[in-house]
Amino acid sequence: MSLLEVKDLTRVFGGLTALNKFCFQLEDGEIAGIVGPNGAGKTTALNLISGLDSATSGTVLVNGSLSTDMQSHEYVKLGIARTYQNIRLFLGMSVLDHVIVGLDSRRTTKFFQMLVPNRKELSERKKMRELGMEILSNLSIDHLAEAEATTLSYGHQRRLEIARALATNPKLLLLDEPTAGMNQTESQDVRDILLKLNSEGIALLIVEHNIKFVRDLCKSVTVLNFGQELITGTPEEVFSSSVVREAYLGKPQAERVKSFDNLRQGVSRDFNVSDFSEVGV
Amino acid sequence: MSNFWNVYSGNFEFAFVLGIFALSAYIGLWSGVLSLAPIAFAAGAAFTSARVDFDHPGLPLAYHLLIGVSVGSFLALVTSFALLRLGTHYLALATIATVLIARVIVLNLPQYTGATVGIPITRMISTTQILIILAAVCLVFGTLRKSRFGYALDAVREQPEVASALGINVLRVRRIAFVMSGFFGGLAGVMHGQLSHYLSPDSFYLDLAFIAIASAVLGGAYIWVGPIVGALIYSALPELLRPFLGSYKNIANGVSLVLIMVFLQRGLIDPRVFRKLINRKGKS
Repeated sequence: MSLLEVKDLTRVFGGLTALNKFCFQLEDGEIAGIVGPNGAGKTTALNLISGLDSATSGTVLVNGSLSTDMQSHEYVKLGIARTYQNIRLFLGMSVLDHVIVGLDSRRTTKFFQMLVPNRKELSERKKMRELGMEILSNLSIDHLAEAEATTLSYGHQRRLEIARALATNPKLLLLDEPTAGMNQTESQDVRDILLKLNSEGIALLIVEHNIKFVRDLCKSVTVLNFGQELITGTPEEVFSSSVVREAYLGKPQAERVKSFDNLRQGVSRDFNVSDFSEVGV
Repeated sequence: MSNFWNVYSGNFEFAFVLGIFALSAYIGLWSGVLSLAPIAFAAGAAFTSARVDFDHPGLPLAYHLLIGVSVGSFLALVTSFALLRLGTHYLALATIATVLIARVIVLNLPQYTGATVGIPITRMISTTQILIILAAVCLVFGTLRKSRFGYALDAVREQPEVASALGINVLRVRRIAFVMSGFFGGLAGVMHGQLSHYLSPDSFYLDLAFIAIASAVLGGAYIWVGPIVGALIYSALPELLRPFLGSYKNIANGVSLVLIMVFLQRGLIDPRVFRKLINRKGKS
């Protein structure tokens, strides 16, 4: 049984099919990547898998249980956690508080115990702070624990998002463009962190634009274009494939001219066709 | 000093009760819900308590408070099933509607509420009792802040979707907060009735609802001290400005709210500013 099994997942926004019959599998402890041009449906796929959005049709199985029928707050119990493409931190809260919010699902105190703090509640609060500091120190941002999260540098905010996701104790971590806007050194740091998490047994699903990052990290890569799966395979297979080059870079010049000729034959209008040749298409 | 207290004790008592009203609005804001409904729940609680007082005079205060909080919470729980699934803006409008509906109900049940004539209340609440209740309410809010529920409320207010992805049941957190707003609204409603010795359909109407929300926003809706400070300011401002503005004194409330919204959007008491001050001290 796979950790994650996506079957025929489809999401339609009005007239736009953002994701069309997407199939995907991820084994325990694996690192997989989803790449594709802008608007290919990568983030839509991630939103559907993480429960942020609900699918038009299709199913997602996590460890054999059907997650598509669950409410989004129940996904934590399946061991799914995620980060966001546009960093989404809680305004006005400290770094440590973010992780403590993430630890919510590990807490046991009931509502009425909180109103009058008894020994159990107080010891749990202390335990949560310690656990939170431990998670922060694993990502080496523990020195910033008391700082307000939104004042952190961009790279540290990304790390905090990972820390907050890790607090839920996930088996599968979904990362939406973890290196977006980062330089070479920063993205290498992220790679090291992710490799360390993976060695602790956490499976990773990475949506990325940074091809080098994906090639270095992922065992298998899926390419999406216009909501369709183009190809799945090892990074070497995928990035040398002509289909993928076409999706990213467009067709080579000669082929483009040829396909335009084909198009032109189908068009019957009164304009001078030679005008187009002068423009150089 | 004792002279000062003799003159102004009534104002302070109303200010403290307004503080509890403001806290009942604040707990809604804390969960990311702008709700005026606590005033409607307060009306239900206060009229029930007044009716009980009318039929059985001389019951101890605890009975009335118990009636207040149970009626308030019950009304809030029932309303929450109808309203909480709405988006924030529509929800805010719907809670205004609950205040309007409450007034119509009060006007149309003359055998219980006295309708336009109103209903007198013989029971009186003392300043000490008000202070004890206010202290207990503050203690609850202060305790909640660093509890599991407090963190969940913070997260739900700032990023409901992210909170949900972290395993927090957003609807449940909002429902508990909504019921708590009914609890404290009912409490304040009973106290308000016993302070004024008289309830009419206008006792719990939009003006009180807006002042409660405005106190929370003016004082600061990010920590529980804010609404109480806001309520004190809102009660004091018209009195302080009476010599200068005469019957225009209530303009001060509106103007102060506009000024706060323009210059201090997070209210007078803002934990972020305090944290920055503390950090600066720590570094120097």
